[in-house]
Amino acid sequence: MRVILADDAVLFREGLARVLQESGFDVVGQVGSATELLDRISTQRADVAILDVRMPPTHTAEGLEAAVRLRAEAPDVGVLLLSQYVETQHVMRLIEKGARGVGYLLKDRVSDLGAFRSAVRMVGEGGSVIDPEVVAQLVTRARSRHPLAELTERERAVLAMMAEGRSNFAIGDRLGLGQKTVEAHVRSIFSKLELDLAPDDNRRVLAVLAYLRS
Amino acid sequence: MRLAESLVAIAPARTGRRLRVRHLGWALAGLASSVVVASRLLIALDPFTLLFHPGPPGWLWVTGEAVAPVFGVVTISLLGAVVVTRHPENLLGWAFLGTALVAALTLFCQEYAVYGLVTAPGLLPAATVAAWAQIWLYYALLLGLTLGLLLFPDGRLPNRLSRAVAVVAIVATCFALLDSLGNTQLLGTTIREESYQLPATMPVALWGIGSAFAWWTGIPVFWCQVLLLPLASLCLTLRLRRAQDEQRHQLTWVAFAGAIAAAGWLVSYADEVPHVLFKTPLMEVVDSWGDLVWTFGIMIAVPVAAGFAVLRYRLYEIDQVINRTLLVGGLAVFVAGVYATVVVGVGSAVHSSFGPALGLVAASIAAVGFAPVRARLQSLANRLVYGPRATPYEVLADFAERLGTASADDEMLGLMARLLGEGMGLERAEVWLRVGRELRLAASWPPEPDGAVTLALSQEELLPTALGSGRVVMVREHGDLLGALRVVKGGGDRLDPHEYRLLEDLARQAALVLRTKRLIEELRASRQRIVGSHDEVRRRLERDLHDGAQRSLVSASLALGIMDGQLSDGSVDGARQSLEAAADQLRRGLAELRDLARGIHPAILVESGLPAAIESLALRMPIQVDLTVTIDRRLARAVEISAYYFVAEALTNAVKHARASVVRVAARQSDHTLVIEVSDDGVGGADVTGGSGLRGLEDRLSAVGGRLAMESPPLGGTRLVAELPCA
Repeated sequence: MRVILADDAVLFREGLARVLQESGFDVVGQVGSATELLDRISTQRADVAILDVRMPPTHTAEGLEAAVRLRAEAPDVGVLLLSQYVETQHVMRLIEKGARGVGYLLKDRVSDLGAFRSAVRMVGEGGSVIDPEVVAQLVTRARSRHPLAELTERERAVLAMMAEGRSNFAIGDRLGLGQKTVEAHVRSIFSKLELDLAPDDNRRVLAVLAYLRS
Repeated sequence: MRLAESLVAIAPARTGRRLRVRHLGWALAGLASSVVVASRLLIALDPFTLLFHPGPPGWLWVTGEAVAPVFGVVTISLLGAVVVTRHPENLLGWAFLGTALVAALTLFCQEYAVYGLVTAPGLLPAATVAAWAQIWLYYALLLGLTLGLLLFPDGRLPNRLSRAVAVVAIVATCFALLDSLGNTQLLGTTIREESYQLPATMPVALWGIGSAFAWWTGIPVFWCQVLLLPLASLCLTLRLRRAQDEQRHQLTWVAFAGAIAAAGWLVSYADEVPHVLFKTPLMEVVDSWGDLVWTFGIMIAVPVAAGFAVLRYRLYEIDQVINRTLLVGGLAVFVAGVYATVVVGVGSAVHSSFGPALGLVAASIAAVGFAPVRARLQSLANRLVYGPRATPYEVLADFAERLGTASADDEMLGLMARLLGEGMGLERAEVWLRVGRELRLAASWPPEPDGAVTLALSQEELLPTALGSGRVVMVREHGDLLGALRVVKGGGDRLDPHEYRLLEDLARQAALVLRTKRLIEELRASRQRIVGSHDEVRRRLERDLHDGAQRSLVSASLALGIMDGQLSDGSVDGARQSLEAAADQLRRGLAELRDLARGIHPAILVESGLPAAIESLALRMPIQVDLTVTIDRRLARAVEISAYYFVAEALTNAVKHARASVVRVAARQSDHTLVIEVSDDGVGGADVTGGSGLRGLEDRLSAVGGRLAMESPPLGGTRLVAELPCA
């Protein structure tokens, strides 16, 4: 799987490249800014672009803007956005046009190498990865008389994982539940929240996030 | 300054001639004065020839008869002498002297004739000749008075109208003299309040010649004589309108007095109008009042006015005096008119038994009409005297009142500009406000859409010209410049001294408003800066955390993640490398956090006080810092913090902007003040208005009642001095 890295913190970028290479990824490029990334993508075929939200020259949200452009111009390139802090707005911008091949993670997550590797792979294969922190913020947001209150604890855990972009299989694996049980939970959640049961995981993420945000 | 000095001096005469002229002037003045006094002595010998008449009270008659002529002649002759001795070339002086002398001689001849022909017939020689002479002299006197008014104040006939009036006056006087020879009637006195008949006629032999002239010139000459004085007075008034500054003040008084005298003169001729309406007893009363006004006007008011103009023209509130006179005079005319119309007019048409009732009606009409007529007259008088504007006194009073009640918000200055513009009848009025180091156009009249016009306050003395044309008055308080008022009069006129004084008075009133307004503006600006700097500080903190400590920690955690994998793989060497990398990143992160914490608040300042904190600052500077700190006690926390940041910012500037190699920090503290001086040997040229942190420092210092002073000549190093009050 071909990966391009974009981050102005060189030390971190090099470390990341090493980790990915050791895990069998093909790091085809390392750049220090969003414009360089866009330039590189136009000439260099890649499956995933991993980029920092904040980069030169303005150190605001160039990474996000580049990711949005990348989604529009090269929809088959997965985009994994890394940030030192979680901002729901960023996620929503990112998945506006669909959650296929989109990831948004806190930078800290890289220390869990296994999880990080699978996240990169997932995004590269067209899946969605949303940081649990984002989902937690959305789920725990205090709202009066919200249907979320009707969900059981287990159902809420399943919902959070759906929002993170996990498949039924991954959820069952994580929570130690059988496939059928997970499917039952999902159906129950969707009916309680009055959502249409979406056929694939990516659209399910969109639906859940859109719901949580509303 | 005297009029004599402001008069046009053409060429100084030779001293000898000048001396003779001076003697001549004073001699003539003495002669005229003696002659007029002698004439009054003649009256005193037999006061019974004075006739009392209905109308004005007796004492007024006596004053008019005995005192006024002496006063007038003496005053005019002295004035003439003054002008003649200083500026012999000025015709006015001679006209004054000549007029005074002629007046004295007329009076003397008149009384000589009365005494020689009536009181003690045959006692005095040539009494009949005196009777003729007083007639002829009287015509000369009228000519002198006319010319005197025309020549005032610089002895020139300035325009075509006045030259024409002068020529007509001379010609008419010549004909009047000739015509008088044809008078076959008994002669009368000329200057007494009421003409007194003398048992004498013009020489019979000359009757033929005189009446030959009088036949075709008599009536035109009569009317010329009636109208010439009022015309001369009118000329004076017309010139007054065009006059400026000092001359205006000289003219105002004389024109005013001349107008009064001329009005009396005209009224005194009312009984000469050949119409039945003018032959009533009421008219006789009016006529004698007119005579009296004329006498007092020409004998007292005009000489006094001329004297004031000559000796001291800076007279206050003359405008107001005229204004009041117009008002009161107008009201008197109104009441008299109502009374005359109702009582005399209607009364003669209806039965006489209605008499008392008609008086009541007249009184009622006058009473009801009084207030509205008064208001009308007041506005008319205002318009005549001040033009289309309020009186300066009203402006000032209105201004003070409105400023007292209104708050010092944005409209305040607009109101001020409007009051100024409308009150003084200006084409444009501007109020400039000083905020910080600039002068800002805060309001104007007529109002203009906001185009932020500002002027940097570099050189204060240049400001009046920098603001533009018109008159500029700087508004100060205890020498502190608060702002400026700029006024432009229509038609490029300059302000006369009177208006300028009003402007200065207004400026004093404006000081209060401007100061309040400026404080508000400065407070607002300072608050904005404080909020802004607060935001800036937070932004910088976030940046520092994000790019510093946070990044180091992320790297450290990545290294630990890698180490985890390496340990699983059994690669001990790799794991050790990763461990070192993680530890390195953690150390770096900690150092960054430490710096940041110190930036947020210097812990050492709280722990050990200002001297230690300054020393710690100095130690961390990459350049040489010489310290002289004599502070022997802890100060208020706010003072210590402000002082610390002052030193920190000054040192940072010295390193970053001034590129200095040595910085000297001197801090000393007395009972009430902490003074800190930071000077460097850098490039200088620092500017508070620039983007440096100096503005923020200034705000911080002023927040604790301190001050910041800076000297930073280009290439001359920078010296910053902070003064903070400390209890």
